[in-house]
Amino acid sequence: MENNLHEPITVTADFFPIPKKTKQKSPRCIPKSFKLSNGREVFITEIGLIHPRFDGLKTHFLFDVTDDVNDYRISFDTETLEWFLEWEGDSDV
Amino acid sequence: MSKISATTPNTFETYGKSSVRELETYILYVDLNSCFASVEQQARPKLRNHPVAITNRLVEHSTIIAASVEAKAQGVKVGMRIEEAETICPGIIAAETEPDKYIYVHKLLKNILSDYSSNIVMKSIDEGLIDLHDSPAEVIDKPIAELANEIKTRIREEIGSYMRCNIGFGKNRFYGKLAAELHKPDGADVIIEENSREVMKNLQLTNLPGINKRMEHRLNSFQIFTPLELLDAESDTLEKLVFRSIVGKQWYEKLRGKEVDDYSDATKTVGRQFVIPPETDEKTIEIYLAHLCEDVGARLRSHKLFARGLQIARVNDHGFLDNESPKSRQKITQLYEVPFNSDIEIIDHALKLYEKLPKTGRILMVTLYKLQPGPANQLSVFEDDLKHQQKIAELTDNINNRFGPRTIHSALTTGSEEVRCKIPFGSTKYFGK
Repeated sequence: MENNLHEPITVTADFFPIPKKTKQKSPRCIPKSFKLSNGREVFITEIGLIHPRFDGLKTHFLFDVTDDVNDYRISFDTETLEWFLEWEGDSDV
Repeated sequence: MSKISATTPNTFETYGKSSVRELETYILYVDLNSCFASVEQQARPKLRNHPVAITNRLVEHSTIIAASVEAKAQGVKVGMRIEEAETICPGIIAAETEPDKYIYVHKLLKNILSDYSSNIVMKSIDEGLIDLHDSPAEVIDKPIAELANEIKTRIREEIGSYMRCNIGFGKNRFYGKLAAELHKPDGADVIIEENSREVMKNLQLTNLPGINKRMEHRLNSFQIFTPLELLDAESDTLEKLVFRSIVGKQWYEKLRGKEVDDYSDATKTVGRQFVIPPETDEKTIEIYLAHLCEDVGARLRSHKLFARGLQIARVNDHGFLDNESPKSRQKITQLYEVPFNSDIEIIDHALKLYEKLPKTGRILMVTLYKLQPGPANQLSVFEDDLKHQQKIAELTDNINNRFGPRTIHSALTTGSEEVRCKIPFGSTKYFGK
């Protein structure tokens, strides 16, 4: 159903500061589009879920997103500040 | 629509405009619907409106641990095998569990609930309750329908637009939980003294939280066949004949709205289990056993506890849905003089016990019991050795907490990655703050 990748990507994202009087601890990041190494660009239409994955003290944020054709998972490594495409779901679900 | 939903009256039509204070329903229970499946559908929009089954491993014979609302509507039940689900629900999509996601959703839910009271209790990964006794007037004077809608809206906005929940208001935890079971999915109900008989008359005994098939048989043998008959039973009958313990009196009281479930258990056991893949050789099973020992050791040390007892078991289960067949269980337990908590000691004890265990049963289990907060009070002749092992365990934990799980592990467990914890059921004690 899906292909496991871990391919470096370039992401265009909006960052929002932490609103006052909230429990939010880090600035909100909303990825808008990402570009693969082959030049293909994916425009994100919806973010399904954002969740962290902890590897010791290192945190990755995983973004499950869609462009209305396929589902994708992109990740942000908070230590190296790199983005990766983790997997791409088939469109025939 | 579940069997309960079809027969029970909509309580919010009558009481929705009343407040918590007026109804004296200070327990608010929140239960996320089809949690694991809904989270997957939330994360992956293409799964939405499709029947989805969540399983531990993506293989034909694996058991479904959660089904989406769409799958349940077609008769898919938790505990079915994937192949069985495919025959009654062609086109069902199987997805593997991702505990990170569910634990994060659990934390978001906990954040939402904690905005209404400082006294909340997370009962499991997908449900929790708010004790509104000490909540501000703006919460308890709000109409309950408005309060329920507000929480549902927050769940959709802060967790995800596809997430649904059931909300139940009750005088105690029992009635709160029962109210949250009445109209699934996405329902909201209240049970008070005035409508409790009306609600109960449409239910079966097994619809009540805490009553399973076995308990139902027991109640039936005392001529109690319906929830109303249980409600009308005398306290003495329940205590001295039916339950033969204080539990009978507790049932009598909880059915009358008294709170008897507001206790918290101290950790008494720490354990893990693993379903052994078919045709696994004994040498590999010993590696799995050592891996389970490392996991329970890390959990034990995270609570700063030591254990004196160890149980190793192999169980043949007949599936979640089969309540009738007893599980055949081969087990060996051993109590030790000196408390232990290092991986070296746990693995050493476990492998020795495992040698004596009959080698049948698909599920391998390791349980530590007789837990205590510190090492032995009495001096042991092996004290230096024990201190050395505990130091190694402490350093290993520090490195693993810094660089990630299993950065350092026993050489014996190399190549046992499939044993990693995949099902975040049960205790929420290990989810962190």
